[in-house]
Amino acid sequence: MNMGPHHRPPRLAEWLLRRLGHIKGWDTLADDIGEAYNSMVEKSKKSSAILWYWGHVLKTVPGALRNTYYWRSNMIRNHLKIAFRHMNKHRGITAINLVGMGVGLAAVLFILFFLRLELSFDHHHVNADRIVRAMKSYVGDDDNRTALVPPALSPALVADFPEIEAGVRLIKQNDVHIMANSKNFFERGIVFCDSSLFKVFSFDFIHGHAESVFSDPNGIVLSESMAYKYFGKENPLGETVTYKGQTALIVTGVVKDQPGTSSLIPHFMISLDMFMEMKDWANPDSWGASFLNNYFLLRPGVSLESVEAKSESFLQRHYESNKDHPFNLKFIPLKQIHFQTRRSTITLFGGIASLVLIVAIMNYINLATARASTRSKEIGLRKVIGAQRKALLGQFITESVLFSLIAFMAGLALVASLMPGFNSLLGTHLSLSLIFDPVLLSWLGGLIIVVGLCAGLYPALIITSTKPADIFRKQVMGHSKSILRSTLVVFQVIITVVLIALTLVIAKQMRFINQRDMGFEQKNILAIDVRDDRLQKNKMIIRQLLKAHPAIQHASFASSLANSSDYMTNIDWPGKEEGREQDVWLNFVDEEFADVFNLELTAGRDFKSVTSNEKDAAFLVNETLVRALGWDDPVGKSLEHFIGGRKGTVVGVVKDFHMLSLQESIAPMIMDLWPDWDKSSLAVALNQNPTPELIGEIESIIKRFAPDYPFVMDYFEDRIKSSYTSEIRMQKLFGLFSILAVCIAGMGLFGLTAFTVQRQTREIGIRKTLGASIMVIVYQLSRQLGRNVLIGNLIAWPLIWWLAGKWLMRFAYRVDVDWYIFAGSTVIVLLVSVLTISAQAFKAARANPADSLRYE
Amino acid sequence: MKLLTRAEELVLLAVWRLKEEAYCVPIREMLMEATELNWSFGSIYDALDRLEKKGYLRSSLSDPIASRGGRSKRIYAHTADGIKAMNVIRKVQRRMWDGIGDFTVEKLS
Repeated sequence: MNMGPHHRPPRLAEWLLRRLGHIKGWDTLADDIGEAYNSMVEKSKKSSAILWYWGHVLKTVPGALRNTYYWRSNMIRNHLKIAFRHMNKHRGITAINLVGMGVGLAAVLFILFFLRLELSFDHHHVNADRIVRAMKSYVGDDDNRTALVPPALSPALVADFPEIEAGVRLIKQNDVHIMANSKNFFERGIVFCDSSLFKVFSFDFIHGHAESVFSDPNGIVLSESMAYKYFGKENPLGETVTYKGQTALIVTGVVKDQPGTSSLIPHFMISLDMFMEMKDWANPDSWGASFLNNYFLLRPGVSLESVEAKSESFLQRHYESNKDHPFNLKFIPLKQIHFQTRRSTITLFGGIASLVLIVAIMNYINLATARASTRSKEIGLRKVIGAQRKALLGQFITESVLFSLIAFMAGLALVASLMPGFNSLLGTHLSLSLIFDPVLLSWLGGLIIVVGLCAGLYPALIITSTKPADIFRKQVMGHSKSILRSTLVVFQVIITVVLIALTLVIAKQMRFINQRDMGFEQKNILAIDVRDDRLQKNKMIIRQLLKAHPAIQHASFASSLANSSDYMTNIDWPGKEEGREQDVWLNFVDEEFADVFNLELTAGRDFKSVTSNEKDAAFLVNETLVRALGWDDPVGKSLEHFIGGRKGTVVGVVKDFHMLSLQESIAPMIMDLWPDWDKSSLAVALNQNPTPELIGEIESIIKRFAPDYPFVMDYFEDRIKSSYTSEIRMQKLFGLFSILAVCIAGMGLFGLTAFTVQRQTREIGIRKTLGASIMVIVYQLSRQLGRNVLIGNLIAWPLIWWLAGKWLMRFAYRVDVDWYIFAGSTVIVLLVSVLTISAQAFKAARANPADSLRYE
Repeated sequence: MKLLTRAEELVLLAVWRLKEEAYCVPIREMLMEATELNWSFGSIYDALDRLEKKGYLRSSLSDPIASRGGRSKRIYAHTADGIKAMNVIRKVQRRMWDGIGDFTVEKLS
C-alpha cells in the first residue's frame, strides 16, 4: 500500500507553491494541488497538467508577494522616512557620525580590498586546487621550513607516487643581463624549469607548443610583454636571446603574461637542463644541495595528508646511505602560499583600520544613547499605539543600518578618490574595479550590516526599554552618568593614545636609524652593477680610468656594498677548540674598499699597503670577530673560511660598522682581498655632488669595455633607505591612522559635550542667577568627560609600554620608550579633548541666564 | 449572525456533504460540478480560512497518507456555530424563495 504519488509535479513550481502556501499558513495547499494534478495527469495529457499547475502557481505569486513584501516594506519605508527626518533635524550630530564612520569604513575598505586581492593570488591556474609546493623542514625543527629542495626529489616523487600527476622544478633569477635584437636590459623573472611547468601551471601559448619548447635545451620561452619589448610585433620564434652575455638561446615559444595576481611571474623560461649544464656545481641527480623550488600536480581527489603520510618511507628509501633522512617533506597548497607571506601585514593594518572604525562606532553609540531622551516621545507614542518592542528594535536597527549604508557610500567615495595615494603609501596595486568581485561584494554587504548592528543594537535596546508611562510623566531619560558611555569614552581615549604613542615611537626609532652613525660614509657614493665577464676581467684598468677623473676620489669593486652582506660561512683558525662553531659574514673586496666607505682602521694595515705577494691571501676583519675569537693581537693571525676554501692572514682590523641593517647586530666579518672572485658591484666615491655629466662620463668608461651591458646606477644613500621601506610605510600608516582616530574621537567628545550643554541649559541658567561663577559651571560641565579622558590615559600607558617594546624588539639597535612619549601622546589627547569640551562649556557658561530661562 | 458570502455558503455546504472527506480537493471538485465554474484552490482556501476564523469550521490534520507522499490532509468539520449558520442560511433562503413560483414564465408573460 505504501506508494508515493504517481506523478510528481514540476519541482520548481512545487517548491514555489510550498513557499507561498507557507506564507499564508496554508500548509496543505501544495499537497492538495499536487493531488489534483495527479488525477489530471491520469485523466488527460501530462503536458496540459503541467501547464495548469504552473498557471496555478503563477496566479498565486502576485498576491502572496504583495501580502508579504508590500505591507512589510510599508513599515520599513516609514522607518526610513523617520530616520531621514531625524538625521535632518540633528544635522551636527549626523555629520559627526557620518564623517567618523565614513572615514573608519574607508580605512577598513582599503584593507578589505587589499585582503581580497591577496587572497585571489594564483587562483587563475586551471589546476590551482591540485597544485602544491614541496617544503623541506628539518628534523626536530619543524617550524624551520624552506621551499628549496634537492634536484633528485621531483623525478623520484613523480615515479614513486601514483597520486602525483606531474612535478616541476624551477629556479628563479632576477636582475640578469639579457640581450636580444641588439637591445640590452637587466631583467627580472628569469626562470629555469622543467617543461612540465606548462602542464602544472596554466600558460596560454601564442607561439610554439608546450610539449616541444625544451626539446632542445637551448630553447627559451618569452612572455608576451618581453617578446614585444625586444622584437616588437614580429613573431620572435627562432630569434636569438643571449643570457648573461654568454649563452645564446633560441626562442621556441611565447606565452601570454601571467596576471598580476600570480605569485610566479616568469618572463624568460629556460630549460633546467641548461642551468645544470652552465653551473658545474649543479648535479641533476643530487640528493644533497637544495636549490630548487618544486611544485606538484596531484591527481584529482588526492588529499595532501595521504601524500605526506607516505613521504616518510619515501625519504627513507632514497636516503639509504644515512638511515636518518636529513629532512621531512611537507606540502603547501598553491593557493595558500602567497597569503602566508602577507598574513602579518594584513593583520596589522586590518587591526589598526578596525580600531579607527571602532572609535567611530563608539561615537555613534554614545551620541545615540545620549540623545535617547529626544526620541522618547516618539517611542512612547508608538508604544501606546501598540508597537511591539521587537518592531521598535527593528526600527532603530533599520536606522543604524541605513546610516552605515550612507557612511559606506561616503567611505567608498573616499576610497575611490584616495586609491592612488593609498597604493603609493603601501606599495600595493589596488583598483576600484575589484568592487565587482562577488566575494568582495558579499564581504562589503556583511560589513555594512555588522557595522549597522554594532552601532545600533545597544542604543536600540536602551531607547526601547522605557515604559511609555514614564516617558509621558516627563521623566528625563538618557542620564548623563551612563556607565556604558563612560566606558566607551575611556576606550576611545585608550585607542587614540596608544596609536599616537606608537606613531611617536616609530618616528623616534626611524630618526634614530637615519641619524645613527653606520660606521661608514654614505654621501656621494655611486653604486654600479658590474656583473659582466668583460668588466670583471678589466677591474684594475677600469678603476685606474675612473680615478683619473678629478671628481672621483676612490673606486672599489666588491661583492657587497658596506651596508649589506651576502655570504655567510664558517671559519677555522689555529687553536680552535673542538666543537666550536664560528659563523662569519664575508665580503669580497678590493684594495680601495675601505677608502670608498671611509672605514676606520684600528690595527694593522689597509689593503692598499699589502705587498703583491700577500695579495692572494689577505683578510681584513672587524672588531667583533676579534672579540669573538678572543685575540689580543690579531694582526698576522691566520684564518680559513669555507667559501672557496680560502686560507689567509689578517693584515688589519677595521672599526665595527653596520654591514647588516640596523635590525640586526653587528656580526663577525671578514673582508677578503681575492682578486679572482667576481664582484657584483662597483662603488665610486666622489668629492662633489654627482652631476649628470659626471655620471655620463662614468658610463662611457664602463661602456668602453662592455658596450652592450646595461648601465644601472644607484645612489648609495637611496640603497640604504630602501632597506627600511616597510618601516617607513608603517610610520606613515600609523601617523595617518592616529590622526584619524584623534579627529574622530575629538568629534565624538564635541558631540557629547554639545549634548550635555544643551540638556543643562536651564540648569546653568539657574545656577548663574544664583551666583555661580563661569569657572564653576565649566568645571561642572566638563568634569565627567575630563575624568574619563584621564582614566583612559592611565590605562593606555602600560599598553603603550608593552606594544612599543614588542615592536622595537625587531631592531638590534633601538631607542628607549621615554617618558615624553607617554607624556606627548597624553598631552595631545588632553589638548584635543580640553579644547572641544571647554569651548562649548565656556560658551554655555557665558550665556545670559535670562535667555535660557525666558521660555519656561 | 452576519451573512456569509456566496462562496462561503457553498463551501460550508460542501463540507457538510463531504463529512470525513471534507478537504480542499474534493470540496473544489464538488463545487466545480455543482456550479459548472472553475474554482481556484486559492478561493477555496480563502473561504475555508474565513469560515474557520468566524468559528463555523474547525480543521485538523489527518494521519499521514502514503499516496500524498506521507503528508497529511487538512480535514474540515462544522462547529456548533457552523451548524447554526447552516440553519440560518436555509431559513433565509427559504424565506426569500417562498412564494416565488415559476418565475421564468411569469417574467416572460
